[in-house]
Amino acid sequence: MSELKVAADIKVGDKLLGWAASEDVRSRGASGGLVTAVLAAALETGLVDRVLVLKKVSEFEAYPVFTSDVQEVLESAGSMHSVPVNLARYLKPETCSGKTALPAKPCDARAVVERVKRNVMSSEDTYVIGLNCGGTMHPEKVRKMLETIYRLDPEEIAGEEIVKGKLVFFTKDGKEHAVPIDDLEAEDLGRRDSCRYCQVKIPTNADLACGNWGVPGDLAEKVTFVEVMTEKGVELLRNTVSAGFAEVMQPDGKSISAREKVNKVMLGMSEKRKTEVFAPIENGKERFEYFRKELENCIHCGACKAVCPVCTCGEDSKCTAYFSLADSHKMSLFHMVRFLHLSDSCIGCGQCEDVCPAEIPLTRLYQRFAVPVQKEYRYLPGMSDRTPPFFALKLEDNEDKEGGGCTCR
Amino acid sequence: MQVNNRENVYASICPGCGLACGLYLRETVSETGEALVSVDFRKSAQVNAGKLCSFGLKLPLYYAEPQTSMVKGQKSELEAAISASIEALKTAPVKSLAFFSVGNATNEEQKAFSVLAGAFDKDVETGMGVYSSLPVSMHAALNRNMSLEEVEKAKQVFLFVDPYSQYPLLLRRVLRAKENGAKIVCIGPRHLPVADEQFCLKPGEYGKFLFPSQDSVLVADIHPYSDPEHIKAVLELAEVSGSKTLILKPFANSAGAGLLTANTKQCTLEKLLEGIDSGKIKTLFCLESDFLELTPDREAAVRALSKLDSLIVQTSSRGELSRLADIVIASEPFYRKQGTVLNAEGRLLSIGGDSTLSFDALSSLAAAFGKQLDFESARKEVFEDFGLKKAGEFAFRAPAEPCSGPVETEAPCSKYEPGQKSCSIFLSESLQEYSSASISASLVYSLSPFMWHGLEDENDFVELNLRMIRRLGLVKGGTVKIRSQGKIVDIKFRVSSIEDGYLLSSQRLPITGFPGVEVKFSVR
Ligand SMILES: Cc1cc2nc3c(=O)[nH]c(=O)nc-3n(C[C@H](O)[C@H](O)[C@H](O)COP(=O)(O)OP(=O)(O)OC[C@H]3O[C@@H](n4cnc5c(N)ncnc54)[C@H](O)[C@@H]3O)c2cc1C
Ligand code: SF4
Ligand code: SF4
Ligand code: SF4
Ligand code: SF4
Repeated sequence: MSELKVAADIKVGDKLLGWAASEDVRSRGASGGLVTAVLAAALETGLVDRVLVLKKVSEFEAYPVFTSDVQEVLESAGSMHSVPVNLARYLKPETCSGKTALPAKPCDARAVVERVKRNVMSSEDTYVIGLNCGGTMHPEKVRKMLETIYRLDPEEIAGEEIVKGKLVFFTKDGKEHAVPIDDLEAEDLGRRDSCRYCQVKIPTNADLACGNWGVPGDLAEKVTFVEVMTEKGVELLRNTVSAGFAEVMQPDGKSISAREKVNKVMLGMSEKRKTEVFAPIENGKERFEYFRKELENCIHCGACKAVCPVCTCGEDSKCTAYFSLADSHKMSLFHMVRFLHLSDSCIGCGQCEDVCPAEIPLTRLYQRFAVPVQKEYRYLPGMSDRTPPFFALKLEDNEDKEGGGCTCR
Repeated sequence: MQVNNRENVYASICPGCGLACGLYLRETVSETGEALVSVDFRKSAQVNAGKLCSFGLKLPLYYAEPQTSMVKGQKSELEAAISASIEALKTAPVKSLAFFSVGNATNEEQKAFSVLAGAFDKDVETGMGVYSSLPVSMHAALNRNMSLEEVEKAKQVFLFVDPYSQYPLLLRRVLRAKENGAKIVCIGPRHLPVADEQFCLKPGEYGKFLFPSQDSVLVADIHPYSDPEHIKAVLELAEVSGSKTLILKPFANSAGAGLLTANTKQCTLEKLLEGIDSGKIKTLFCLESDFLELTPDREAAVRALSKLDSLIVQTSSRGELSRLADIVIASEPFYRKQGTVLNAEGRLLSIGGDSTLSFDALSSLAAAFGKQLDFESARKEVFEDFGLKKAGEFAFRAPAEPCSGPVETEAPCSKYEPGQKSCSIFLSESLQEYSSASISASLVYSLSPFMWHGLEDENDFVELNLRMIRRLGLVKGGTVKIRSQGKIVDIKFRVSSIEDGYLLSSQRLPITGFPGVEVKFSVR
């Protein structure tokens, strides 16, 4: 076991193992309670005014709340894989006065970055504690898999965990029930569609990137692997350690390479899935028909716009100008405007698809526009403060661009 | 900088229609006490998996104007409004009283309202006249439980409603049924994208063209303007084929209100209006029900209501009815209410709030007439009535006993005769030179949550099919002038895939009432 690291020695680029000092927080936390300790310390010491966390209702239900109450933060500990919410959407001018900290999956962190670019919030005042993410599940599907695959009553579930590629449910009688995620996904259960081709697994765009990959077997669930990404990350972690809320230490080389290896495998799987899902539709007529058919059941509720964390236009925007069905023929103009407008900023978070009452595979539709654009401009939205390609005023702003003309499919 | 707004999050339901979708309501209360409401998706909700239609998303507008209590046009304290109501009820001849609640109130409020009405030997009117036109033996079939999940498992789904506009959160279940291999048969003038087969039939033709089986689900709805012949034909079709029925309803607690009201001789709205107009009803008490928005002829309703001695309105929303009311008892917004609703599936759902303000007002009124009912007892009675121990997303009402009562048809309060009125549709002046032909058409309303709740919708156009548009020489982007009985409306139109001879509207046109009417397009 290596030495504990002192707060002052923490710097950008550090890769550490950390855990909450309090036994209570450790037992509540998903993997040592480090994230909860960081959030609680930030509040307690006044580094931030509020934190945005999930308020648990049940194993399958939680909603985001802003709080200044440390107790509420402690109660939010644990990973909720069946709560596919995007927290960035809640950061708005009316909620963002003061300094705020939040836990963030890669899609949350990416949306934060895009929202900052659109002046919805300030980067300086927002502390992002990133969580690695292998994916989330829609609670409706979780119930279905419990009933049909696990043959368990959802009311009997006491907890859930992802261990070595298996989704494990713990029942109130103390038993464990595990099924490989691959088997679930073969039945169209398991992770949300968008998570299966998500392009970021470790939120290197956050201030801290925390997860259990790389944690040695004997410390599993007891500590979290944390990478310090920014000066704000340094500030957060130093603050936590010096306030006595957590301890950190240097991992060995094996841990670091194990983390990188798992990340590479996960990204490879996502890439493979992405290639399958977004096989180009070469024929223009077929392409039109594909979009027309997928959108034919749209009931024009506007939920896809309301929920999108990177769409910051408000009520009167380019797409809503064509919201009236009276303006549409064969295919809604509202959607066409949105597909184009979001093609450089869609982060594939899956929120639109989650809330669509007509079950339209919306994220696939948005990403079908976005993937080629983002590939052409070598721009992965939400990963840096680079100006979105469509906003770039000078060609140099898009210097990553590799010629070759438009490849949009 | 500290943010001093207080945020309350309610795990609530949408009052838009009888599906009662789950959602979160975020109420941000400013330091001055002003509450701003926003809607959030509650993905764990069993009914809708967090998905909402445009009405659900527009709930902040629905909740925008909180109500204040009033007596004779003056703002008053709640207690003063209750006292004035007691006085009005005391002085009114018992025979001339009417109590009206369509199903926007909780079961517990509905119970208290029934108790109050009972103090005068009266039943609560729900406006569902269809009950009185059908044999009592059929009533149980209208209130049978059926979960939306069962629709997904059907081999055939017969849709007598338009899920796209009327009950939008039904659509995903139908789409899933289709994905599972079900045949989707749609009955109505609009050609629905989900349809494998589409029919536009009269009730008498259902048995001739539709062949459901035991694995089929028939989805229809009942509402204040239901055609009894149509409902009867659907239920008979179900009976003969052994198929299941899902009968939807327009208000969040229509099902609860219907079951808690023992009255099987419900009056139609027209009959109620007639009663008011003729002076038979002199005091009307409306509970969370906008009589004006619902009645077929708004102007006639305003005229009739002005003849009342007392109009008592207990409501959480501001509307024209409150302005006409002699007494307004302000209730809390729906999401703040403690209590339950029974949705169209038969699920007893909690609303999610903790206020009993509105219930307490009704209970004080009942107490003034010698009837006691506290909230806990009301709640217990509701659970007993529905055969449940608690409310919840998996709490389905115990199946009703098959009705062994008399099978003869009750004499209806009034007979609904669809298609009697006619209106002419004149087109914009520029088109008049093209033709002098006259085309007959039926005006059909998509009775959406927006219409039932009188909330403005983006869809401010009428729909015609391309053939009719061409025959009428209409030009894209223009408007169509529709005239009926001396009234004219100039409105945008849209080309839609609908049957020839139909004009569809998803907003109430100021030229006719709710029931579909035969219209005549005339081009001068
Ligand atoms: C959905 C999800 C998937 C994950 N997948 C992986 C993975 O594949 N590999 C890996 O190495 N690590 C993954 N993690 C991270 C890991 O589970 C731990 O969260 C991390 O190691 C920190 O542990 P902790 O004990 O310090 O966190 P805790 O102290 O338990 O704090 C967790 C924080 O996360 C927040 N949170 C919980 N659920 C969500 C959610 N759905 N969305 C947003 N915030 C949430 C809580 O409010 C809390 O603040 C995942 C986390 C989540 C939430
Ligand atoms: S989209 Fe990516 S980051 Fe977001 S929940 Fe899914 S896998 Fe995690
Ligand atoms: S369009 Fe959909 S997938 Fe893309 S960012 Fe918006 S909500 Fe997420
Ligand atoms: S959420 Fe779905 S139904 Fe609603 S507007 Fe978007 S695509 Fe259409
Ligand atoms: S109006 Fe009906 S379908 Fe729409 S959200 Fe409300 S309850 Fe659901």
